[in-house]
Amino acid sequence: MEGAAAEDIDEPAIIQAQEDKDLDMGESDYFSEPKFDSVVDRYYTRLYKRVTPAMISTMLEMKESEEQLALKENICLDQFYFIHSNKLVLFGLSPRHEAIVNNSQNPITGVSFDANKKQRSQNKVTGKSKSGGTRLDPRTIVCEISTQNGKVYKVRSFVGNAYLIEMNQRVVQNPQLLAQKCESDGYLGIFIVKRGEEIMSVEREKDWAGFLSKEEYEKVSA
Amino acid sequence: MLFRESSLALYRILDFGPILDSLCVSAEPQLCTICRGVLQHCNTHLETLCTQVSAQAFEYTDFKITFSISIIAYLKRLLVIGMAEEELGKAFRYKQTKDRSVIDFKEVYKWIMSPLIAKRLNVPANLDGTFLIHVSFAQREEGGGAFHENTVIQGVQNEMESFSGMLGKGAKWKAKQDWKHKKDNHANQSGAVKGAEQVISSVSKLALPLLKELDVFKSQEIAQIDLNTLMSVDCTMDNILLYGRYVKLSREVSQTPWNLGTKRMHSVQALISDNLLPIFGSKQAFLHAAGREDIDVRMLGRGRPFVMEFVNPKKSLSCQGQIEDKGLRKAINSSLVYCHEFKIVDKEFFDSLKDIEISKAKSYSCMVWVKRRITPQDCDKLSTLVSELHVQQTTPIRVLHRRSLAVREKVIHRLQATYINQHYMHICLLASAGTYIKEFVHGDLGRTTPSVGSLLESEADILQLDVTNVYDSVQSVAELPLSKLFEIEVVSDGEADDGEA
Repeated sequence: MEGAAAEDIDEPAIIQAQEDKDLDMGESDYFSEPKFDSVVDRYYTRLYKRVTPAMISTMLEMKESEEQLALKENICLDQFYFIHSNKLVLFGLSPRHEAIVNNSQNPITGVSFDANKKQRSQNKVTGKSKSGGTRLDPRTIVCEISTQNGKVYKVRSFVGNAYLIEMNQRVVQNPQLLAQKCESDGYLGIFIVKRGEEIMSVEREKDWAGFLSKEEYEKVSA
Repeated sequence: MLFRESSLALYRILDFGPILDSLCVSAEPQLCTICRGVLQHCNTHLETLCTQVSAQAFEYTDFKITFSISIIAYLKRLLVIGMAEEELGKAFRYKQTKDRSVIDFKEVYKWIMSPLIAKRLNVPANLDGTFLIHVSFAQREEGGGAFHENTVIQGVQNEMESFSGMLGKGAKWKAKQDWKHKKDNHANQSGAVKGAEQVISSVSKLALPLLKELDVFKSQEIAQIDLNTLMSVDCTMDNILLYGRYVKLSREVSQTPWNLGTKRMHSVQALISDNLLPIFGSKQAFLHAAGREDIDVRMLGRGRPFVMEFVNPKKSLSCQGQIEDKGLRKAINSSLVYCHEFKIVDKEFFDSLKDIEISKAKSYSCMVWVKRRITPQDCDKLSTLVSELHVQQTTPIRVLHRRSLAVREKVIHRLQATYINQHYMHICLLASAGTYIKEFVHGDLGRTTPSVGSLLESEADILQLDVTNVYDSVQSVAELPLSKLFEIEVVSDGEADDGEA
């Protein structure tokens, strides 16, 4: 029996090692996550914007009762804005966005860029200077995200003086991409600021002052 | 002035005396009122001209000249023609009709001076030549002064504007146009030549009484000017085009000069041209390459074809002896860039350079990381899967700021993946021209399909990339076995290897 006991003690160790091997991520794993920057971190600066319904109401200057505000307080609708070194901006939903967090219970069923009866997805930009893009105002609704139980999330741009040059069609075709890879393949769109002009954030300042860097964002509690 | 009696006939001018006498209005020693001494005394300033040409130290086998004279001369001529019309009336047969018009100063000057210069410099004149002598009798440099072209033009335009009240609608519009040009001084500076033509044509439409009122003719200063004092001679030589192939061995060298903040990066253009400039006697050179590669990508194998354009080379003849591989290779003398296969080409070659850029297939070698664990079988599967694979590439985001948004279809002809370990592999591939390899590997957030990441059903990323060869056509290498295809040629500095493929 002692032998068996000895085996018993040994066994967990062997399984452990095997489990380590099967898992993709392991600290002791010689082949761990790459030590170089991912495609996103290599070229982009990550910025995040905290968005709450209260903010939206203030921006749209809607008057709401205390009750209504209380209901909406903790809803997180954060978005990200990744600025490329060539000044193009990639934007989409932050992984803390309510739609993504609740995806398992209430899956995202559709993404539409044709909000408010505007056929934006038909918009094509032409030429090197990419003229013809939709001009963004901080209140512009860029797209609408519909979920299974009927709840619709409207994504607003929160920046002005920028032009939307690309709307990610892959997310339209496969809405679950948004839930799984919201910060890479599941981005929502790309916009540019015309040469010689500056981005205008919703705080009416001509820069990204109202946005948080990656470290700041991680510090803020979800 | 010389007037054209009838349509053009060729003459050989043996004796310039009579021509000069008929050209210039005013007998010696006064200066001709029209040309202000330029054509009148052209044989006396011949010596100065030739000295100045020699001083600029060019090597040439033939020459051509261009000539420009101050607008003051043109305006004076208009006035004299006007006055001749008035006085002679019907007898004046040379009203500005198409076949009876005044011959431009430039043509007369060239007729007279070309043979004289040819004799003096001992080289023939050649209208299709490469060496240009520009003789100018006008003041066009920065600065001002009463005789400066711009001052005169602006002065005349001002007056035209004030006349516009008396003239019809057409002139008013013209005056408005001139005024608009006047508003922006900078436009005026560079558009001085264009402004001159406009001014001359609008002044020619003025009636004689108004013409006489122009300040240009009333000013004593301008009346006394001796244009010979404003003579300047500029020589230019056609640019020399040197073809070669370059091999880039560094991952920190850009193709054209680039400044990262204050730090000046090395560039292929500088590394090649810096030591070659003295050989050609040039001050500046431009690199035109058949395609580009990123700064962190090495260019190996036989090298990328390029044409180096040497601006205004003074040693266009003596450099011919030096155009052979070894001499130029030694001159370049850089451990970061290696060039060979030099030859002189002409302007038409640029078309074929562009052709090379868009038609040649290239082979690459890169190090790839894969997120999931892979096996040697995965690598083999990938190699067989990617054969004449059509890839749809939406313009990568990293170049989207300077290229238009479009979907381009490219072909990956062959691929060979070699297993290194569970997350890394080495890939060699042969792709059509214009394929973005980095985006083919990592998929550019899904904008390139299919990508190595999607083919392996995981995420992939590229660590290092090299261009291993530029091929003439896909057909020429289609039959080669993969091992031969992706062999990296080393072009060495040794005597034996002299640019052989």
